[in-house]
Formats: sequence, structure tokens, C-alpha cells
Amino acid sequence: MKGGTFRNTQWDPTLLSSQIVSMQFCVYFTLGLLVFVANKLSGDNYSLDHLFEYHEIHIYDMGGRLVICAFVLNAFLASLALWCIVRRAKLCLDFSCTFHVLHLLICWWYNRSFPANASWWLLNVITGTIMCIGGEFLCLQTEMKEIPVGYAALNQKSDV
Amino acid sequence: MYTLMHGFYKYMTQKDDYCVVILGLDNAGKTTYLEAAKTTFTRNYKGLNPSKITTTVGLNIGTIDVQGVRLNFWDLGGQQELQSLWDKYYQESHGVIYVIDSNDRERMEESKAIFDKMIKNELLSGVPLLILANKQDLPDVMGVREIKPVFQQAGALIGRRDCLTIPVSALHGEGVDEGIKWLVEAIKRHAVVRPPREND
Repeated sequence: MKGGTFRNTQWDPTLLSSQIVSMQFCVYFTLGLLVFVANKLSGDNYSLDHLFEYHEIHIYDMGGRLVICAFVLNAFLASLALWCIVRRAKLCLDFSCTFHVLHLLICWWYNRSFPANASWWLLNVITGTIMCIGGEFLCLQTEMKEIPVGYAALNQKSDV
Repeated sequence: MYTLMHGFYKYMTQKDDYCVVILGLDNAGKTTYLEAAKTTFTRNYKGLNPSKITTTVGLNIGTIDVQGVRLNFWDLGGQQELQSLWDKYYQESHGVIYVIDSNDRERMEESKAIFDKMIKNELLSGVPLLILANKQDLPDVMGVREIKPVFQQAGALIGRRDCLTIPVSALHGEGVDEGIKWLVEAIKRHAVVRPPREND
């Protein structure tokens, strides 16, 4: 079928849970790739610390700045993930916050202490904002498309 | 995650949704009864001033939560011209309340005729029926003992269903509590045949 389709709006816990898990995997996957590239460029040893260790978020040397750039760039890729996986503008804020809450919990567990580093929080607020706004923008482009109505719309564009 | 949790909360707290039609001649006290039911079962609900209740054109909708279920009342207009609309609501009804003006002897036969016509409808087969002898607060009124035989003649039409006739005074709220609670129990028993409305 050409063009948009209607989807039921009933509460679907399976779909929502799957989307949350998918978002987590996709964003961490792209983040891993980007941090890998950042480590190559800065000559640092690659490790999970750059993803979850909150002390790694700093601007004192090239390595720290590249990791920050990786996170920010990853926020844009996360917007693409929202667009592909969630596909509803009104859910982007929800899923963006969900991702960052889960990220907070993972960092908390990984470091055995609550992230108290101001730069870590600032970075996550910024990436959360980019992810949410970017995702909503992309989803709106899709949602604002014309809805085909009637039989004619299935075969050709109507001029009326 | 909010959408997931919010949906889960609504799913866990949802009540079974049932619809009840309130039928009867015009001026029998159907809307007054609905107001009395809402006043009785809804906290902080003051209710409409009885003197402001006028002839119902179309229907009034009321909702109350009682004994773990949600009752949606459809209070339909009882005028002759509006009675042709009644059968549109039968298919989705889980219970019927028929209100009789006990003080109106002249129109008792008319009320019975309309009752017979309503009860005969296949769409209402087996649906719990609550008959209310209203306006019992007035002097020189027909009691249940007088009214019941009149409507009992429709016994064959009533068929196999839960049925109860009680005296009420919707104006003063007397007998409202008893009737609604009985109706809820009857509707629950009948839920196997006519399940609650889908929650969307």
C-alpha cells in the first residue's frame, strides 16, 4: 500500500518495551563506534570507561574533547533512531528521557557511585535535548505527509 | 517509559464498563432518578436542583462507580415522539431501569403498554430489569402491591431474567441505593452473556 497508514492507538506493552530495548541497543552501538573513532584519533586505549565512566567527560585534553564530540554527534544519530524505531513525534520526548534515565542508571551501577560530575550532567542534558528535538523534527516531516483517501489515491495523485 | 507505565497503570485500574438505559413515560421521574443516583454514589456531587429538571429531549448521560464497576446511564426521553429512539440503545445495554409514576393512575395502562412493547424486544432478551414505582413520597399513591400485578401480566414477556420491583422516591433519594446495588449484582451475573463494553 502506497503512502501512510493508520495505526491503532491501543496500549501495546510489547511494542513499547521492544522499542525501549531497541533504542538502547542502537544508540549504544553507534556511540561505541563513534567513541572507537575518537579513541583512534586521540591515541587512547579503547575501553568501556569512555562510554560509562563519568570522569572521562572533561575538556582537559584532546581525548576528553573527542569523547564529548562523540556523544554530541551520537545524539543526532539517536534522532535518526527515534525516527526509524519510534516514528511518533509525541513519543520522542518520552523515549529520549527513557534512554537517558537508563543511561544514568547504567553509569551509576558501572561507577558504583552517583554521577556527581557537572560536565557529565551538562552533556547528557544537551544530548537529551538534541535527541528529542531532532527526533521530533524528523518524525513531524513524516507525519505531516498527505494521507491518501479513497481508491484513486492508491493509484495516482489527486489534483482535487 | 512514561507511555509504558501510564498505560500499565490505566490497565491495572480499569473498571468493567456497563451501560444501563432508564426508560418510562414522560414525567415519571427518570432524570430525577439519575440525579439521585449520582448524588448517592458520587462523592462531592451536589446534584441538580429538582425544580430545574425539565423534560428530557434526547437523552441525559450519567456515570457512577459502584462496587468496583462503572455504570453508564442513558436516561432517554419518555415522550411519545421520543420512544421510537429507545430501541437504538437496546443492543448495547447491560441493564434496564423502568420508571413508573405511581401517582398517575390515569396513565398506568399507557405505561404498561409501553412496558410490554419494550420488554418484547429481542435485543433486550435476558437483560436484568429493575422496575421502580416512583413518587412514593406523595400521599394516596399506588404501592408496589397495586402496581406489581399490573406489570406481572407481562410475566411471559419478561421471561427468564433477573427482575426486581421496588418502591422509590427519586425526589428524596429513598430506595435508590438498594435498587442500584441489586442492579449491579444482576448485571455482573449476566456478564457472561453480555460482557462489559470494550475499554479503548
